[in-house]
Amino acid sequence: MEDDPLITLKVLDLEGRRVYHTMRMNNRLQGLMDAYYKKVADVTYGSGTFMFDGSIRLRGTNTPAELDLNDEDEIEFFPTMIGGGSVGA
Amino acid sequence: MTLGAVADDMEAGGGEHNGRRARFTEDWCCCACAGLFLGPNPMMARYLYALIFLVTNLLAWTLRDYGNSALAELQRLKVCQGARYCLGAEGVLRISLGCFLFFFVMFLSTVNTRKVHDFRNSWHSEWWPAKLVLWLGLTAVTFLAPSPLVQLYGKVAHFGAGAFLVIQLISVTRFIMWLNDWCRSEITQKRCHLQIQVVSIVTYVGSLLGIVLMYVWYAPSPSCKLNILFITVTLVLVQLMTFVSMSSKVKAGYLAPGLMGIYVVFLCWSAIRSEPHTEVCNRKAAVATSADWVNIASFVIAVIVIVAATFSTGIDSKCIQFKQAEGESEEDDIPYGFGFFHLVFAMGAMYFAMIFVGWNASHTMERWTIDVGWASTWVRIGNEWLAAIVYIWMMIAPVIWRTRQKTNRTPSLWAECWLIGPSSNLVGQNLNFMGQKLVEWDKKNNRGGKIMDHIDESSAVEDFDNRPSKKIKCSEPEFLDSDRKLNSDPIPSPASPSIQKLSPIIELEDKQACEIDDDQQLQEDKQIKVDTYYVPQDKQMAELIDDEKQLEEYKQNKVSTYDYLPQDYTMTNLDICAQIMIETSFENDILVKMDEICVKQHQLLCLLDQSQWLNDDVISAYICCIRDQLHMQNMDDAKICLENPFITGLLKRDGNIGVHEDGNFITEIVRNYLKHEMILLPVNIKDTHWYLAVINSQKYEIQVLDSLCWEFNRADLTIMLQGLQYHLDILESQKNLRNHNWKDLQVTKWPVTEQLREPIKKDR
Repeated sequence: MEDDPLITLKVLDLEGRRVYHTMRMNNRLQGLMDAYYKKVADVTYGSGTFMFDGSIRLRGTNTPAELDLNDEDEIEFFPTMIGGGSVGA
Repeated sequence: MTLGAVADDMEAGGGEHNGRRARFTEDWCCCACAGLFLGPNPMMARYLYALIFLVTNLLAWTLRDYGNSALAELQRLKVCQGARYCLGAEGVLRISLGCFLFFFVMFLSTVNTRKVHDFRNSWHSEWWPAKLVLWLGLTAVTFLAPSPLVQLYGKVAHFGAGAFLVIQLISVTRFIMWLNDWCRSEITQKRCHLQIQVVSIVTYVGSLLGIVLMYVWYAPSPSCKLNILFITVTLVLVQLMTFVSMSSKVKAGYLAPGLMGIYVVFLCWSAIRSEPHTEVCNRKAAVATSADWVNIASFVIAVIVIVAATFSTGIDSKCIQFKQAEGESEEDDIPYGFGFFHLVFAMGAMYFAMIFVGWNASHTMERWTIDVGWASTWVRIGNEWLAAIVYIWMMIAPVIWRTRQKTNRTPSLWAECWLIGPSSNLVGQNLNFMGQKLVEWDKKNNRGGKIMDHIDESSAVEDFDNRPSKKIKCSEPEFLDSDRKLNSDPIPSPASPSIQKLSPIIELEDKQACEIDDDQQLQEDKQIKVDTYYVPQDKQMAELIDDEKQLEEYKQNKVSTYDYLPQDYTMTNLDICAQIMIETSFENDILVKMDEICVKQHQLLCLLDQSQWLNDDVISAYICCIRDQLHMQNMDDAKICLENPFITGLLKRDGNIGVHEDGNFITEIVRNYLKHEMILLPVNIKDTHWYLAVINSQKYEIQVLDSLCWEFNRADLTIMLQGLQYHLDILESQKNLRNHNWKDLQVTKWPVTEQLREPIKKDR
């Protein structure tokens, strides 16, 4: 197992909440996302965007190795931002 | 078969038919002066093909009616089993099969010939001895074919003959409609207005008279229910066609329904004449048979009509093309489609076989009769009804499409969209194109740049793409060839230098255009209504008025101060395609893909449905489009930095909780801001609204563009600016901050100015 090391990734959302998740480099990132949604109860499952460095989007099928993620890297979580509907605020 | 395409084609049919007429005169000239067998002349060749076809017809008829005299010779052929199978109906089928095979071979060998110097042209127009041998050989071979095979051909021939009738009918209908259009053209209107009126009235009265005569001749007693039904339906169809053509929405004039009426009545008459002569109700026809010369004459005419119909249909290869031919025809193009010509003749061979055997291979025909029997009757009646339906459809189809959608959403367009659609990034490209339209319009009207004119043109040249953050770069849209074909609008040429200084405001407007486009599409989709956007000149913002009442208000109050954006925007094929794609895709289909950004179908619904919201991915994708446009216009001196809403979100977060140790990449992004003069930051009020904040480093102010003018609700902006300030502070504290264009880094102290005074978008 030496070529598939464990890394710990941190999810930080816009509210400042942090969720840590330890996984293997070749595991799918869906696990990280599920862990975040499980911890943070008020965010609807699957409703936001995970990003690294403000530009690289994480998809559940990707692995940290594919996206060049390292131990201790921080992932941002963005809840869906919507606006412009016709319902009066 | 797309009748709609045929209907579309109609509009452009005039020129082509004119050409055809001109070619006819040319032909005769060629015949007269060039003589026979001179050079590869396709115009001559077709008459020879028609001759071959005529000879085949006569041969088939001879075999059917006078086959007994040929008995002695045929007895030698074993397959014929004492000539039983080789004469009568089966003999006709064999001759027809030979003819069919000949033309089918010709079809296969000439299909898709385009140019005169193609060697296939000389095969089509020359080599007559070889072709004669081929024809005779194929005809002879059919007499060796086993009987079941010939019977099978007889069954197949039913369909071939049916297809022939349909093509012929479309050809005739098209010709009549072309004639109608030609008569309604201005020049002809002036010159022979009276004649056209007379012809129209005569044809109309003639068709009514024909119906009356048919009642008298073919429905002598009330027991002739079938004939009465046929004639009455014809009457109804004639009235219906006239009514449709005259109706205010179609306005097709009088001539076409008159001619179509005559055609339909003729078809009905021939159908009734095809009834077996023993019927009580068909006495008139029986009387006619008694006079031999009349019968022979009508037979000969019938044969010539078959040949002529085949011939004229054969050269009208455009009658069933699915879409208009692109481009002008060149001089060395072949004059008519060889492949289609031979295909029609091949089907014509099946048709004449069916006519000679009365659509029923096991049935024996009387001498000198043609196309008689119940099967023939029903085929002809069906043909008549179909003709009327095709005509009416051609008339009303454009109207239906026009009302359903202001643009023409033709079936062929649907098909094309689907062919290229799912695999391509069509919707995304279309977003891009719509943005370009607005930019173009802007340029044309020389607007923009007024409030932003303070920007110094000589200031530093920066490449906005040259930023430290990883991988933020939109790929240039890849245009598929088919997309180009679809999109009739040229891709805008790079902006001229004089226009470049207008760019800042153009970008601002494009940001807004995201919303405008949504609403515009929505309008086009939902109802036909005035869809206009107004631009207040003083504020330089595009505006949408989606309410007619409101529109009136604006017209009264603001006429002098408002500029108009293109009100008559008609959706391009690409626009419609994009709309079709959105409407017909599944919820989670990814329709827009630009680098990292994927927009799914349900997120794009905001383009079509007013109650849907605009989400971050759509905004990001659109910002990506704007960046691309900057790129395409060679705006590499971009002083503008367009940020995506996610970074705005991060700045807001840092404003709330402060910068933390992993936020270095944000500081780097902010460092890049310092190279630009204007930072455009889309701000989201949670679950409510989008607006744009412009960090204007030259005026030291934060300009806010909010389509709703909610001046009271800038908490998000304040927090975001605080976050930005934290990062600027970090940069300032670092000693390595090189020279930059910003003279003051205290953005929180800069005044916030609202750029709009009246809301341009109303929440309902």
